[in-house]
Amino acid sequence: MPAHPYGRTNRVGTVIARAFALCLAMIAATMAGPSVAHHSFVTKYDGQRVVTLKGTIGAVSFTNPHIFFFISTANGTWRVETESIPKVAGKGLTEALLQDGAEATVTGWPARDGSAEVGLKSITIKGRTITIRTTAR
Amino acid sequence: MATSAVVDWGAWAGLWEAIAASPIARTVAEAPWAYPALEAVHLLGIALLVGPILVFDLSVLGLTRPIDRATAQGLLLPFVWVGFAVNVVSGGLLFASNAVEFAGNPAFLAKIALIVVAGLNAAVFQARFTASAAPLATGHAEPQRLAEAGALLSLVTWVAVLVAGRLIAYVG
Repeated sequence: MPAHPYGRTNRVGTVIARAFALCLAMIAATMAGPSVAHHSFVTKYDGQRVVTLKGTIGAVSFTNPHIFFFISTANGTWRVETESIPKVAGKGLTEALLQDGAEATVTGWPARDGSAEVGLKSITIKGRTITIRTTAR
Repeated sequence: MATSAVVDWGAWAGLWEAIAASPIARTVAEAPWAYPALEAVHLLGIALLVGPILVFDLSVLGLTRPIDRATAQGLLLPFVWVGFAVNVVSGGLLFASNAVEFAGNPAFLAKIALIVVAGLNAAVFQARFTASAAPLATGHAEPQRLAEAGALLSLVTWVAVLVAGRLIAYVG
């Protein structure tokens, strides 16, 4: 082997390489699970419980990577998170449909931290029921 | 996600809000395909930036064939700079689209700090081992050990940058 211009082949390097490869494999293994699920959805929302909220839509933020809106109910105002614009629009929940002031019923998984926030499961608005997700996974 | 900021930005908070309200930021957030397109560009930038760095670092650590200075400086480094430029622009636009959220996200802040560490490490390496014409003294372990330490720090910090970047969507 020619003289190495920056370093050299050595046993320490081999050990480092194996440790590095192992780290990469572990990172890949731990991240493979949540990556298959969508983003932080299942870490943020409790997939074991579903709540139903009936009220008035407000403060719609029809944005990527996630759409947010609020729903004012008899039990307070809840923040609702759902998916990206193309995914949601593809299921029929368009910006024209999700308007401030519209009456709606939403179902969703509540935030694990107990805040007044849900991850959207389905929404009934203007006579249409659209299911965005069937599971929080 | 936006509710748990880890930093009180004080007067800076207004800047993040102004950036997020700018027309280009609104376009990135509201045009259906702008955000995923920029994410794809950002991934390409990562490949151009981190790929050559990892190859170089593994070489310095003696795990691959040696890379001569001309190849490192003339072939690998230009890809790194192009990748860095691509990601400053694509990352800047992604940041702008939700500046308030990102500025309060611990993984994002960690990512920026790690990029600074990785960049300083690269600058030190460049100054110490590459910019000068002096070859690494053969038979003297010290500069080789220093180069290996720099390469190892580079490997760890750049991988940590990627992990922190990915975690932005999962924490905060």
